[in-house]
Amino acid sequence: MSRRATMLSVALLAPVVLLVHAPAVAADPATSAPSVDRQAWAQTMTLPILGPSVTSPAFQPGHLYVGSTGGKESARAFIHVETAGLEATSIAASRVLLTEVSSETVAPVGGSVAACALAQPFAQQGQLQGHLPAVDCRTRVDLTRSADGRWTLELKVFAQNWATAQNNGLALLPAVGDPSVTFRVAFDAAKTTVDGGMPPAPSPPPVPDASPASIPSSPPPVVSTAVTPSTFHVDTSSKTGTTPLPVLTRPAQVASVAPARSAASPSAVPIFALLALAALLATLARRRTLPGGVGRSRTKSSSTAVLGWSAALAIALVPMLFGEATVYNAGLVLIFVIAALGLHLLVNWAGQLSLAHAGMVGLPALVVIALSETHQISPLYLLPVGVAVGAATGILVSLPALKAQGLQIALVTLTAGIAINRFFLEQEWLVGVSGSRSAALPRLGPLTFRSSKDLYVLLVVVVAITLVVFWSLMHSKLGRAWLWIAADPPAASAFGVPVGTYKIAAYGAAGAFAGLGGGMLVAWVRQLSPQAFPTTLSFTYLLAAVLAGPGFAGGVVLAGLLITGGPLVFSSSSSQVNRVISYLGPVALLVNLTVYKAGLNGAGRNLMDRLSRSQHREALNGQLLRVAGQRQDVDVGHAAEPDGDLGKSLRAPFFGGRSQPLGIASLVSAIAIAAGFLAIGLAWYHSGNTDQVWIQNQELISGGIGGLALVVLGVGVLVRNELRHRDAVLLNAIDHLARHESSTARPLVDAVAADSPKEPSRRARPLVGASRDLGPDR
Amino acid sequence: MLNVVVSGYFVGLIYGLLGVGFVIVYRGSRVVNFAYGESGMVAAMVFADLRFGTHAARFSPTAATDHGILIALPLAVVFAAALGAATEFFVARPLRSAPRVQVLVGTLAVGALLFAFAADHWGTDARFIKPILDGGGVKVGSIQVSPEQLLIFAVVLAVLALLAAIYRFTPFGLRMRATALDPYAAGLIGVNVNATSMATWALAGGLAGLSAILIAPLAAFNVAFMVTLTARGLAAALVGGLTSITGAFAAGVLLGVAEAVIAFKSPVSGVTDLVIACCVLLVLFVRPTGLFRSAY
Repeated sequence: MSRRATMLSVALLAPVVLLVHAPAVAADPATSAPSVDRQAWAQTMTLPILGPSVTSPAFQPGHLYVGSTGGKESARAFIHVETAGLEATSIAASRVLLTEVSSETVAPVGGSVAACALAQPFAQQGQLQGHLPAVDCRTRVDLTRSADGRWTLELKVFAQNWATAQNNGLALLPAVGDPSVTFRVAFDAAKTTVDGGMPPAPSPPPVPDASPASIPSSPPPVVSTAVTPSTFHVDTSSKTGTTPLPVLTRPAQVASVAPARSAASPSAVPIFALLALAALLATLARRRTLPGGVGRSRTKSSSTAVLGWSAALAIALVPMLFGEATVYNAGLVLIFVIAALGLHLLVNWAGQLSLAHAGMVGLPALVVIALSETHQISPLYLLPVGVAVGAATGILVSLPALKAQGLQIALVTLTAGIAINRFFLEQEWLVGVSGSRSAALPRLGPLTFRSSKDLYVLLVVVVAITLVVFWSLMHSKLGRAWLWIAADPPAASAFGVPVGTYKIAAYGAAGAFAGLGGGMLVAWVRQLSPQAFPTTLSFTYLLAAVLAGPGFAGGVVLAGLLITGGPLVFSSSSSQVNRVISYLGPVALLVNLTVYKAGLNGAGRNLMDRLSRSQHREALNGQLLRVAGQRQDVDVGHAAEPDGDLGKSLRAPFFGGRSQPLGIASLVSAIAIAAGFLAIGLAWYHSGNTDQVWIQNQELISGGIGGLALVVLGVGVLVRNELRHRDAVLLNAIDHLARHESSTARPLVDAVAADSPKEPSRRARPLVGASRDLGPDR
Repeated sequence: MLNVVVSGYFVGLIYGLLGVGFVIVYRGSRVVNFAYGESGMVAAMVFADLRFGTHAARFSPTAATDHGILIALPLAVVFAAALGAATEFFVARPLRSAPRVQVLVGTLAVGALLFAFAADHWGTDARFIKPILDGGGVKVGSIQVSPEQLLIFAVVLAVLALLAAIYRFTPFGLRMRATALDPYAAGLIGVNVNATSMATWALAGGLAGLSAILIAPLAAFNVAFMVTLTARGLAAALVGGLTSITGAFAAGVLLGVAEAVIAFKSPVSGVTDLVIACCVLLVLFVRPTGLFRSAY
């Protein structure tokens, strides 16, 4: 079954893979003038803990902040100017005008504001948290300020790049010469405008973005475009007529709806589902490798495994179909997974614990970025350095952890983690004078990776290699010894396992994975500050590892998606959904701890067991019981694989059954699948053609998720039906055998009776009866 | 220098106070409660809501919304106690027979949940909160002691005395000790294990709320303000041996003073944390049971 299912999924995915290489999105209709469509800002310096009782200054929603405290940057702003389809000359003639809020601005005497190009995109609006987009200050320009508080940003230096290559936006940074300067500039986002650009063709006026329905009627010739991003305060009063030149006020939601490259693109929901599917496949492809089942033989053919792997790989490449921002977020999820694999190994395989994982990721990442910045080496070449530093950090953490008993492990590793965070991640020689560093452009031989899309394929390859390494580690002598240590250290020790050394090795391996994740993070985001690795990040990693539960990597991927995948699907504009997502991780962990206990890996295994083997056995047992005239419900909870002779002899002759009748269930499920795809398509189409966010959300939920549920349901019923049918064929054959060739049936029935380890007495009795009835010679 | 030691001493009081909270839970159910800081933070947020208005009026407190400290403080503390009891009911109780590390992860999840809720409800920006006591404070020689510091000193003394009395003299304290030592045996001799355990967690939760409300005006009061502090409190509890209230308290004060002195002497930022971590680990190497060991 699973082979067919995998082939089916591969067949479904083949077009997707082909599309990966197709041009991503049709080019936007030519815009006559550039316009600012995304504005954001971020604090880059944290507040002092236990300082004087002065609360930090207020940050108003709808304002952007750029600031410097004591010569160190404390806040920066990001703006994105939509220039798709514009000529370089048109961009070069444009200026962005920003208006400062005088009540919130602290006089920038001795300091100014500079604009640098962004090397990474940003998708969100308002205040950004966590990873900030990387800045590439090779193209930069200083802003000029007029006496009335208007700041002018000439776009000339960026024009060539934006017209020919990627436009990721701009960062507004404090330009400080004197280290004692403290200033802050607050910009009113609603008053940001773009001035200039070439006069457009008189008619028909082109639509300024990719969503044709978002501009209801033909606007007047656009010269200056006022911006009202959706998350900011919307200035509803139209400015038309107040200036000598006609002005178009764009609809409030345009920014969050239209650009196909924005993460807010509703089409990202299928990505989330597909990534989850990939994770599920990865769970299933290796479900034989669970702890406790390591020694068991695998009955699945290796070709199925290969198919499953390639399907997972294909699904992992799906984000390439979407915009830069989506690819960027998907990459962050994958990097999280790489790092979380280390803790997964430590917690779920070696049975140890570490609350210093943020340090194990952060220290290698900062070492890599420091080397990359100072020597201008591609961070990709520095990945081995990251792995080595990570492993060394892990070993360092393991030393006190070995000594600790019980719960002390948690506290000791936490203490070590805090020490790493608060000492190394504070040192200027590591984190740079300004508190953040920019890596060199990632290069590999002749290849240069300028955008996330370029790098994504390489990242997927790195993830695949990591998984292979993880798999072989788990199947090595070391992996088996770790399982033993987790289960019973004294016993392992008595049988000659060097417990102490192997525990250190486990921490070292965890650190190596974390270091790889940290190194990849550098190549991915290209700008890092230590604030990216707070102590609480360790808890997040632990959450992922425990949520994944014992097993292979699929659970980790699912947990990573659950915890960090939110931005992949929902931008900050639909904050309601984001809020729900932030609760999901902890709640899932609690439910898993107290009620479910098997983790996501266990859930994957159960699902598969339920789908294939258990049903198989249920029907088999039921039939045998019926033959014996003793009908009894059989518990099919965690039945073992019918290994050995039985499995082989049953599989061989009967699996070619082609004469399956088209039952009602098959018909219904086929309709369900079709309806599901139709719903997804309709929702996709409709939400792309409306500028109302609430309508889009409804479409997402009813059409996207509902359609997906329909498809899954349909496939499930189909699979179940197929299994039923095969069982019936099988049982007919067994009946046949039992009636006419009793000598062949005997070993079969005995084998069935023997392979139920859970409740031997309850199962054996009727089966013994069955064998007595079946075997006339007894 | 004396000034530094004194200010370190008052910071140490806070560490000690937080450490004592960890010890109470650990004595009660052999668990380190990682949701401790977060439940305190939520209580402090509720307190700020009751006194200075909800998050809408973040930096412009309005007198109209002030419910007075006599209402706000008990309400917030009771709320924190309820949070502690809920943690016991939903996490510690179902996992009573599970490995202790699992319970620890469970409390981490509760902490993450509370954090997510707080960040969602109150935002991540710093909020306005006024010190409970105003005034110029006391000047002893060249050392200035603020009223907040005096208040913390008084509260810490009172809390310690109260806890000592509860554990030492009341039947409830005896039941708590019995439950901690062996829940099964305690149940056999008629102790209501569930109720006792829940009372322990509620007591610790209330203490968390009280501590957080006291500390909030001294720190940058946002949703994360307890994270670093509770880490220090944990270190104090660890050095103190995890079961000894006086041990945790003494270790906390020691930590506070050491931190202040090292920070004063050292030119490199971050050395404090490294030295303190090394000291903590060293203490555990030399005396794995902590500096102080108490009977239960």
